[in-house]
Amino acid sequence: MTPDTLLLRQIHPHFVQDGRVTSQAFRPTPKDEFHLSVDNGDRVTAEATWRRFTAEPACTSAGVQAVSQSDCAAQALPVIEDGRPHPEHCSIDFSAFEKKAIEKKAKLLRAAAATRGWLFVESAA
Amino acid sequence: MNQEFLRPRLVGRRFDEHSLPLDILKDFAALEEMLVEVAKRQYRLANPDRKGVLKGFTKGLELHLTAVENGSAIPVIALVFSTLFPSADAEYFDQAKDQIVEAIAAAEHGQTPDLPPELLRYFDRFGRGLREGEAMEFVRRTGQTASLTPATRERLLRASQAEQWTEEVTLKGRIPEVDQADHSFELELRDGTKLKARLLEAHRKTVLDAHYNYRDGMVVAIKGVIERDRADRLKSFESVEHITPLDPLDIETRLEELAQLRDGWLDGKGRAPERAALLRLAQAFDEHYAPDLQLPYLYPTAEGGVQAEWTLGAWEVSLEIALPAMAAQYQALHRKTGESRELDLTLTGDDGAGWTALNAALKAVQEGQA
Repeated sequence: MTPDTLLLRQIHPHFVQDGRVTSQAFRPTPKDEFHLSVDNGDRVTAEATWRRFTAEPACTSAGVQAVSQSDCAAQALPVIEDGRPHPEHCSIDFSAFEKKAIEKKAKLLRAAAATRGWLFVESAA
Repeated sequence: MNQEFLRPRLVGRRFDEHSLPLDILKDFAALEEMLVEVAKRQYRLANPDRKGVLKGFTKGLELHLTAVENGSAIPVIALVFSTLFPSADAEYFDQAKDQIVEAIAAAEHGQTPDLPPELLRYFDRFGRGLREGEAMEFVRRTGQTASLTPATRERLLRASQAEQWTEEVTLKGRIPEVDQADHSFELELRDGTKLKARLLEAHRKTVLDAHYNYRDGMVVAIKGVIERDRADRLKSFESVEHITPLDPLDIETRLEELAQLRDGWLDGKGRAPERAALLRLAQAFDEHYAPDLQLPYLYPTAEGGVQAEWTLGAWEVSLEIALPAMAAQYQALHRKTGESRELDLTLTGDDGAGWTALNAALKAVQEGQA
């Protein structure tokens, strides 16, 4: 993984309004134990990761956006290449921070991802 | 010559200023038609030997609105007739009034109204202008009150055996289809129901714009009269008064959308926000959110709340609202400098203090966006 490696994030349809994605999509929910699931963009394409994710009956995604490894580093967020549940899987680790700090980091990650735009959208499938 | 005939009491927020919205006058025009027909029936019952009704039975006779009195609004309606009008016939109009008021009272108490079905069908237009929470109250001969409400009106219409009736509505949806040759278009509601409407020249541009932007999710609000059948199914628009394109960030529309969520909406996780709480939030935004501020983007939270977000220049702003408590956490972050501003707000309370603080915080950020 390099600083330019893109970390691909699935965006839930209800986390999009009029094309804008909420910062909640870039922070773990309370049940995620402070780890945000992403895929290593050096090893899998946005389309392939979307197809794999949405193949699960319970999973929906409006598309894929991404932050880079350097975006995370700038926020002191470690990226763990955990390879589970699939080889390209990574986790962005928020565990060192409390709620308000996490929200600030999520805002900055959202803005960075918005600058890159959508890497894959459902309508292209 | 005229004589006071009817003093119904109109109850509801629209009538609190002791005035009448012009819209409701259509209902009284329908009442006048109904009174004439019921009076004719009374005349025939009293004069079974006469084949028809006296020629000129209604000639020179009209109902006039002569005043609007307080409480919350009481229109004073007079029966106006020429001095040559035979006074004996005026009695049939008094009887007609009593018959109509008694029909309303019967429906209100779950009884079968006495009027025949074809006369009850006048309630399709008389009472149609009433909204939820509103009523027209009439005094019965006994001194008791008979109250015409949207629910009473529906009972009267069901008793009329009509297959379908009409209602004044404002419906929101998208426009998937326009048939210019047929001068018609369809409104698609959120649940997928499609309602046909006539395309009027005055609405053509708005309808075509909304149709062109259908795939982008453009929503319009249509105010008009809809046909509804006995099974409560919407059929089509009888008439369209206004079509208004809605802002893509329209708060009420977005919160209505979030009210459709079910528990588990977030890939098996995620609590659905309470519908009643969303309604209260929509009302609170409507009453307190400063109109010169940019509209927020609104998203559900996994905990059953709502998160409002704004991007204002270099500022990223969020307001996480816990429902139903309406306790909110405001956070504004400057992307370049890292400066942050945080507030804990309570968005309930009659004084609107939480909203005042929110408006002020957003205004400060909006004015110094750099």
